[in-house]
Amino acid sequence: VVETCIQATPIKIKDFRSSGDAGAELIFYGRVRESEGGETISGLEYEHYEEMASLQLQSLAVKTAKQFKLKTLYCVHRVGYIPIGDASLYIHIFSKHRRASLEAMEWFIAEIKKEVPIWKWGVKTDGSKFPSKSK
Amino acid sequence: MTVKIKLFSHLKYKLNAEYIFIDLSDQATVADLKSKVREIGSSRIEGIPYRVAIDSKFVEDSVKIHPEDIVALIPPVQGG
Repeated sequence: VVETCIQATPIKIKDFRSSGDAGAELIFYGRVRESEGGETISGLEYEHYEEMASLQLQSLAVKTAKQFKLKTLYCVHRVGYIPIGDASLYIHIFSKHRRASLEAMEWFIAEIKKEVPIWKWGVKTDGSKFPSKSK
Repeated sequence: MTVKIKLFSHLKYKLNAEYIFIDLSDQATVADLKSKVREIGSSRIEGIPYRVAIDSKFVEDSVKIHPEDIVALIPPVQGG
């Protein structure tokens, strides 16, 4: 099962029923920190190129699941304004053994940060925005 | 032909525009487009790396551009 989604609403954990063959389950949340590039912020604004980001994310997920022989890869990326502490990224993986899940998670996140057209803007407490320089 | 080009992140911020419009010859390639972008952006976008996407796919410099193409300049992405 490979499913991806880019949404502007808060991320909720998905209640998966593990198949009998999956011995490893791995969940990752990426969350917004309280500062960006040394600036205190109220949150991040995630900009995305909607059509391309959806295609790239799904394509990467399919490639990752195949490469690491995953049973399930479910990924949600939130966009728009996200306050400090909220999740911007949620990834849920099932595999037969733990090594595949751990390696797939690292690889998949690294690829998202290279190939999926999503960008961060810091939002200051006065509401002004600046493009992030971080990766 | 005139091509409408979508901008994001630092390029959008520095050029203060969601889109730019660029006149190109009918045989123009992505390399020609980049050259024009350098002329238009001059010092404002100097040093900002980007890749070009056409119809939601990254393309190489040798690819020809057509009037109906949806073109976007993609600075380094920051998802996650």
